[in-house]
Amino acid sequence: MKVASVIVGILIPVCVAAAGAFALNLWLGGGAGIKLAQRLPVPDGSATEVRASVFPATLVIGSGATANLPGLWPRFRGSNFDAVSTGKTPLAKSWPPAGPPVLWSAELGEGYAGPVILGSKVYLLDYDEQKRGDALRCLSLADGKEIWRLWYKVRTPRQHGVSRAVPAVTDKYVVTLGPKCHVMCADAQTGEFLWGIDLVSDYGAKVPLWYASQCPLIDDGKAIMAPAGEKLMIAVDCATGRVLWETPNPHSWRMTHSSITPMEWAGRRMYVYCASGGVVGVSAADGKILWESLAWKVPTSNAPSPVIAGDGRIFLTGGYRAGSAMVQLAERDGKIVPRELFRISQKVFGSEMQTPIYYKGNVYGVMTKDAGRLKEQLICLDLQGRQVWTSGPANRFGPFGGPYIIADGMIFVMNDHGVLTLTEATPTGYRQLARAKVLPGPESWAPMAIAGGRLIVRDLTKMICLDVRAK
Amino acid sequence: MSEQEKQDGLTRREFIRNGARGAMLVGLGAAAGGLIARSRSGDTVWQIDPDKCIACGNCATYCVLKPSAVKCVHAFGVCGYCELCFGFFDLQPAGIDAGAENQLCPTGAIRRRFVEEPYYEYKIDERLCIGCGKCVEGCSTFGNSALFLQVRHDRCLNCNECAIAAACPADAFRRVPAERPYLLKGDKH
Ligand code: SF4
Ligand code: SF4
Ligand code: SF4
Repeated sequence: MKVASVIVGILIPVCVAAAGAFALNLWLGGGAGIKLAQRLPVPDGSATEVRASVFPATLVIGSGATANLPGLWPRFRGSNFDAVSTGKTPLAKSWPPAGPPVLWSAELGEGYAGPVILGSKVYLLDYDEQKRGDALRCLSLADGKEIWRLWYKVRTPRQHGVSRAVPAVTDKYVVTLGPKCHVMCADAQTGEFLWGIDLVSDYGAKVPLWYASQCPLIDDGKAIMAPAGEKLMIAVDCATGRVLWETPNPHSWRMTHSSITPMEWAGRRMYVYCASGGVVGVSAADGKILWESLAWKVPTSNAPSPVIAGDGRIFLTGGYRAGSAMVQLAERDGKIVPRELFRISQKVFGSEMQTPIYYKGNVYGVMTKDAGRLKEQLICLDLQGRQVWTSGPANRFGPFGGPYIIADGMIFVMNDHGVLTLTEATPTGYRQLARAKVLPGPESWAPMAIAGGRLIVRDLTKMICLDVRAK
Repeated sequence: MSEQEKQDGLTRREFIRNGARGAMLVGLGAAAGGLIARSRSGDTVWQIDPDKCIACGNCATYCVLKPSAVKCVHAFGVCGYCELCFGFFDLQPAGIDAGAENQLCPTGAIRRRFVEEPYYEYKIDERLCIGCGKCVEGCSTFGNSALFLQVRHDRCLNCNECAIAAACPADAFRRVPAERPYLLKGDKH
């Protein structure tokens, strides 16, 4: 009994300890340890680009002639920045099987830049792959022939195409923002180069991943843009190129793919911009920050622009699982405060690339690829963020959803392979009117433009003008 | 032994553990050898239809082999060579560099290399890939769908009833002719 307890109480623990010590010794002395591969941010050989000056740009006169048409789609998302046409031309509610008649077509460099229309001219910032340069092309709305082009040399290897942003145009000026952040202002009629700014060299902007797609804005003779470098936003006098005001960038936010949206609220005009770290409202009068919210940011890349949804509301959406949010401005102690009304997941609604449309009290858009069973469907939301209807599994519009615009009470929505669909813009349900393949595709992602019943759409390399007027 | 393997080295512990596993595999291999011989005498082998796969993760865990016979494949012709690759980086990376905290792959099986402005090349180190599909999900949700999973027939035992096929929620497994054993994405592009 005593021997047994000695064995259990002393001998076994001693033996176990000795075996442990021996094993440990063996372990520690036992040859070279595993060489763990360190996963550190090691230099991967990438080089810093040397930035050459690109201005002044070169004007080349083409064979196109100015017609006499009353076109008006002067900036990204049209006159009111809402993708809703103000035109009064009645539009066809059905199409022949081959689609609406094609009035003209134009070959383009690879990309997703959409056009603007003013009078009888169409403007587009194309990329000339032969000359390797951004080319502001002015085409005739009547036949698509080139009236002039103004171009500058900049090497931009394709990365999902090259061209991106939609220009802004007035009677006098046209302003462009190139994929590598070159801003250019030209005479809208003659194409004469007026001034240029390199947002990288002059403002420390960083070219966003997959290049810049911020569409510049012309407001009251000022070109408004967001370098989000040393300055968050700037206003430049279109006539002289003089900088009128600069907004500080206290949080060192970076440029996104989103565009500045003007907004009127409580008697004040402001510019709303989704930067990399939040949303900001900047006074149109002097560039001062009126309000900001750090609550809304889209990881990776924020492409959709803020949607002004009436009564101080701003609808924000993004891809990469950001979903959507609605904020509403309120005044508190003399300050403007953005209040979040709701936030919804991407399964309810989110948009990676296209900006949704606020129309008569509802929001319309195309769901992202990661929206589960509703993926890529057209959707109508109410202002509480509830789904009113979806287009159903037979009607999906591609992983990058759209583009889409509303004209004459109808939604024109493109999938990403050149199939154009016409539906009623109503909260009472998805009611499809017509569908036709109008472009070969792929990647028909560019924002559309419509004026006087002429609808301009494009895919990766081709732009066409469709006659969508009612007969 | 590859350069990478030489660099990484092995501990004695790993050597012993591998030895024990090796002994087990000899037995398993003997059984499997017969199985392979039997099933390969038919004309078909298991493969994943990349258009059906939803990258659920089951491929890493249900295969009778550890690590799985399923590996990630990269269709270079479909790839955008992006600086920010959704198959390589976490959705909200702290930085766009190859730091472990930024990477999606749990085993560091994807190698990133700068090619020229603005392109980066991503290569799968199959030795490290466990077929978890995390990169596939990232690339197919937000990128060009250049990454996809395939049953690798240098490893697959071609079980009569593939354990993953039985667990696949997307019905993505099917039998394909043994002489064309892969369903490659680049084929269609
Ligand atoms: S089990 Fe099926 S769906 Fe899941 S990763 Fe494997 S093949 Fe894809
Ligand atoms: S994420 Fe998973 S499937 Fe992709 S390479 Fe890494 S281990 Fe393989
Ligand atoms: S057949 Fe067997 S070895 Fe091959 S993938 Fe399926 S479970 Fe793994």
